[in-house]
Amino acid sequence: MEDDKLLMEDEDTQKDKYLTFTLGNEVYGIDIKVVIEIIGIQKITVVPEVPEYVKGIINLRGKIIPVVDMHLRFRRPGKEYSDRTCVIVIDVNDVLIGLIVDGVSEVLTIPEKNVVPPPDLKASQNKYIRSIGKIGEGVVLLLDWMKLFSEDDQSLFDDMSAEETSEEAT
Amino acid sequence: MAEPMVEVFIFETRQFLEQLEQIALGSEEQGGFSEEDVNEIFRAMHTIKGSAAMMMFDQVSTLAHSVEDIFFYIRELKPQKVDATAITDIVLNAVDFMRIEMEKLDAGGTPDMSSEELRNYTKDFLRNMKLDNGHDPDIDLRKVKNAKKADGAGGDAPAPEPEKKQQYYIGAAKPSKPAPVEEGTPKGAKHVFEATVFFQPGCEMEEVRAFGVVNNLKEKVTELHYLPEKILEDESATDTIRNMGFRLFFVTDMEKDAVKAELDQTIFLEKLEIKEVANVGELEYWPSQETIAITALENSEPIKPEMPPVQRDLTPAARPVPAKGGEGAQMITVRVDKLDKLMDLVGEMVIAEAMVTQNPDLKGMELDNFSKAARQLHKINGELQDSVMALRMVPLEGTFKKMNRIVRDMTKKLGKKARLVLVGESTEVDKNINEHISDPLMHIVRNSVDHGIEMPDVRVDAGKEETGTVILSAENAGGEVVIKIKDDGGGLNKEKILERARKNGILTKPESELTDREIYSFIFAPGFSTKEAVTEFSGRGVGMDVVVSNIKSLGGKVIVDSEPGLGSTTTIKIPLTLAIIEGMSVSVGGSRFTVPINYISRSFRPEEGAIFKDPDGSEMIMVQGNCCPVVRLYDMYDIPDAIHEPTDGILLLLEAGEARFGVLADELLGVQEIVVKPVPKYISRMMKTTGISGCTLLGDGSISLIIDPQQVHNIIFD
Repeated sequence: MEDDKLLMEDEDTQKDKYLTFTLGNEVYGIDIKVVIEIIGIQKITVVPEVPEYVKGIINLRGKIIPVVDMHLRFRRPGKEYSDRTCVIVIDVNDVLIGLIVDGVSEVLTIPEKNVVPPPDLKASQNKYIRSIGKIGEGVVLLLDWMKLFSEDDQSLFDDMSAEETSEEAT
Repeated sequence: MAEPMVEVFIFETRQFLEQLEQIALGSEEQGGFSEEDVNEIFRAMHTIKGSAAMMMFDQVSTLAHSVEDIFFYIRELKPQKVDATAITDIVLNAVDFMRIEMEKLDAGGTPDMSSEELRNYTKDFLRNMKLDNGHDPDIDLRKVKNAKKADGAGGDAPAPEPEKKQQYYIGAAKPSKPAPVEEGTPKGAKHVFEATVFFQPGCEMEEVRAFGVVNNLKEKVTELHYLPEKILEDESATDTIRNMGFRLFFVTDMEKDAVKAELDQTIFLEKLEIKEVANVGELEYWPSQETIAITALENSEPIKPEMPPVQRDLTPAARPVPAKGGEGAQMITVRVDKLDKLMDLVGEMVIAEAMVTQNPDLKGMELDNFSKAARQLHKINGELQDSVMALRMVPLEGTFKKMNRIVRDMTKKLGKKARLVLVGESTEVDKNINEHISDPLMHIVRNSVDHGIEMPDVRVDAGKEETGTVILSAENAGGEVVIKIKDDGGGLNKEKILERARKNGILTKPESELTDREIYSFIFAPGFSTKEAVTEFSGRGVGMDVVVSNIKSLGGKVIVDSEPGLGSTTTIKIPLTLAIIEGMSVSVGGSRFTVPINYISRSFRPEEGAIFKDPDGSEMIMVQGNCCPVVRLYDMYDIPDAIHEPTDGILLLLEAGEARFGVLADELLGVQEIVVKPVPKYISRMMKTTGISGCTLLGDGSISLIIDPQQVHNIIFD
């Protein structure tokens, strides 16, 4: 009970807060509540038979987590990694994933009234963009992190929760 | 997940059920119940009854009560004619019933199945048994017992004895509660009450109901005492409560009406008397602080439902008899997830140690003292790891003993005669393994009795002892546990198996080339059964394939040997533990791979021209006269910058099952204890056929992928 309450309060203070990062010329934002930490780029162990955008796995203090190159994920040409390159570790439904981005900028508060839905373009990749936030003159593309895991891995969480329940049942 | 209280209840009840089953089976074998057995069963049933009633599971508690009655009768009147088999059946049926209810409860349901049929059968049985032994079927045993006691005490009624006797002081386990003033009314608007509760005649189990009253009340009062003091332990308590009422003495800040309302809620309440007195001194019964302190010391085991659930996890393992400072007091029950966590931490530590001692910064330095200290650290870490592993190790005994029941039930139903002999049941294996081995063992033992052991007359004709023997043995052999199930039955029928295999179309090579073992291993194929008739136990062809898949998932293997007419032996080999294995790490380009050491038969640098190609381009090498295929890891995993010339690299010769094959890598990095970590699910679901079963962290913090030779083998040979 108390945990729930704490969690609620926690979420409340994190509401409307976004971590912004750059990818090419654009500024993206991701809900702060899913971000675990930001680390510099480190040695990545490649794994076979995965899509190109999955660069491999890294060792985060004993935890092994997959990392995804966001350039490649958005089907753009990859970019050389530099010392500005960062890995944003996010936790979605207890699945940890590292997102490789060009650099992180800051944590912004974007009130709901400044957030608009993206235009419904057929050709665009905006299925990854949940909405667009206005900050003064500029805009921030707010990531829909649930869809990040998808097209083919949309079902990841369903699968996993199903697996977990079946494991419990046995 | 069930509530902690319920969880504890399930856990304890299951333990009692297991114990009950063992005692019942043992007694049947001896053809009667020893006094000790009777007491044990009585106690176990009594405790189940009590705690089930506490949890309001009436079906369970009333059933336990009826079974308890039988043993109460046996214990008190020691009847001459006791049908051990029939009683064992009753106990086992009750155990089964309760077990199902526990399952239900565990799954979040309520144990609501009616036990009436079983109960009535049990009651009738007891009645008949009493008649058989020339006793009055309606005799009230508890009265008989009390009468006896009274005789001994010189004709006095078994009235509650004054202070000197042990009593429970409810609330002793809560030290935070302010101690009440010894004499006079405690400060504040406290009221002192004396209440007597009478239960309706014939409601049965008065002692348990009284306990319920105490449990309800103790939350609301400052201090509480009651007579009789030992309601659950003392069998005469029931009688006392029935005749004289259950007397409560307590201090509370509730008004008389509130107290009355509270007590009025008692189920089966017949009459309630409440009297308010000025202070505790006027009470008929009020133990002093000293007595309380002494009793608290004497009662090494505090009253059970009093304890907060968290603490329960650390209490001495549930035992039928409160341990009197013996070995039982040295035991604690720990949650498995805590052990898992500890195991993880030790795994991290093993890696961290390697990170420090093999730190690249130290390379080329002369560090005498450092290496000395590092060696010491390594030694301690090793010991720590062993101890933590040992914590998770449990003897196979429990799992083995379960098989007794299976053999008994099957022989009874099939009309066969067989006994189960257990050898080396104290062998210890990892808890995970112990859990997973139970099903496969059950299937194999069933098979042995059903297919292996012949009917008694057939056995006699064959010149064998009428009673068949199934030997279940376990031993440690290196890093493995070897479990054997050996029967002295008819053995496997090779012809029949072959015929069936032909029919099912599972023959993999010409019949003449099949070895005996290969033929026997067909019985593990899915849907395979040579039995024409499907029995309750086997013949459906499901089961043996489960055996293999279960054991394979534990990293083990199964082998069947058989001699016609003499019986067959099934051998299961499983690794002792799964979490930490020894692995050989190799580098390929910038990547690292680790191969479990027990798969590597040798590693060497191939000579010029030793590796040759067949017309399809597949590479192979001659090793000891055998031709083994060779895979190049950089090829398989598409790794750049690796050594392409075999003479500059190293070839690992791996053994997977019967097959051997070579794997080409750049360089050996050394053997290390590795902690197996699963590949993150996000990735593992994208790669299905890669031959990689997990990953691990090496000393320098880099990740190495663990190669599963079995999977690689499948990739090569398909």
